[in-house]
Amino acid sequence: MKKIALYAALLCLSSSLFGYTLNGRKWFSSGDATFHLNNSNGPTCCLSASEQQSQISAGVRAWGIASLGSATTLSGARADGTNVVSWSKLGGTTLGVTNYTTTDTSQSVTCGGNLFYRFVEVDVRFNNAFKWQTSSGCSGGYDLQGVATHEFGHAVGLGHSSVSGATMYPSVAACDFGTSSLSTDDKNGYNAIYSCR
Amino acid sequence: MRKSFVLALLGVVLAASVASATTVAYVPMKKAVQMSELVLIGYVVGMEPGYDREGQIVTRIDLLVESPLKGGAERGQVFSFHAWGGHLDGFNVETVGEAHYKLGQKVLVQLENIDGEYHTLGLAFGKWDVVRDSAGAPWITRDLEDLNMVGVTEAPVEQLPLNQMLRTVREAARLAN
Repeated sequence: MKKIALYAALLCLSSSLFGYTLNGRKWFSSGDATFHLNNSNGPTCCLSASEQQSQISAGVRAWGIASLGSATTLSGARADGTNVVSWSKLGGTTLGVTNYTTTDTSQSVTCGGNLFYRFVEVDVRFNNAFKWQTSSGCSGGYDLQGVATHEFGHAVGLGHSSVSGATMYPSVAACDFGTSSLSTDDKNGYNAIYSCR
Repeated sequence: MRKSFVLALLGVVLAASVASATTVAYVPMKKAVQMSELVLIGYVVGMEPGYDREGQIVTRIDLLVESPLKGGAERGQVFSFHAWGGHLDGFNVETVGEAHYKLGQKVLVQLENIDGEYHTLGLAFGKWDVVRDSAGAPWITRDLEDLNMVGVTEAPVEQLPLNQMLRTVREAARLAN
């Protein structure tokens, strides 16, 4: 009985011992986690269309389960069965939104004592009104790959981390290009979800 | 009995829940007021889900305006704006990072116009609950937990006396004139 209580206490403490948090959803196969980019209506500043694509692709690929597939003309705002990454007007302060568009709560698995429901569709939108820049000569702009890596961290099932410097930490400075690389905490969070398929 | 069971099972399978994680650019208080087309204090008197122009599920929030601090709304007017997410046509759309509303709740909202529809500035960033401290003084508080913020230059303000916000709005108006 004491052992059970100790185990339960350790489970409760796990999110404070590790900075990462999990949102209780995961992809059940890598094939399901293929995203399709609609690169129309992209931002006018300051990356070319190919740079946008390569930075978004890097943000997707940072998380092993996910990949970028063929281009699409579908919207990232609708539930249509396709994982879409697109550009949109999101206002004056919102850079990116990740929609967990459909989750099948009838299918679940446990991994490391955590319960996960099955992702069916996730859509990601970035704001085309912002100044997206590369690290060279950045001035008041934002790192598309870094924001994409963070958003796709959510798209594979991670919540925010309490570890400063982690990609999933909920706050970075402008022209901060450090969040494109996953920290140990990010990798631990990812492994907590996908170490058992 | 069997039919009910099958229907219930179908309901579970088809129940689609939508949530979002949102990244916003942090802006200090004064700039956030300057960026807001309207700043209103009022009571939530209606919440109705629907689709926006992009086919996305949104919830229309009806606010009975008590104090129009900035913008063209009038005291006593019901002013409507949108929050992303809602329950509609079998979808349970929850936008993490979006502000949460309750009927009857007194709020201060900072609104921006996105393609002809009003939304709070930066989702939960632009929605404050109006509360009173133990001495009865009005304060405003907001929940930023589900937002990822970039460009942060100071500790984000999560609560402050309402009077301080009123001073900020007046100062922003003075600078604009």
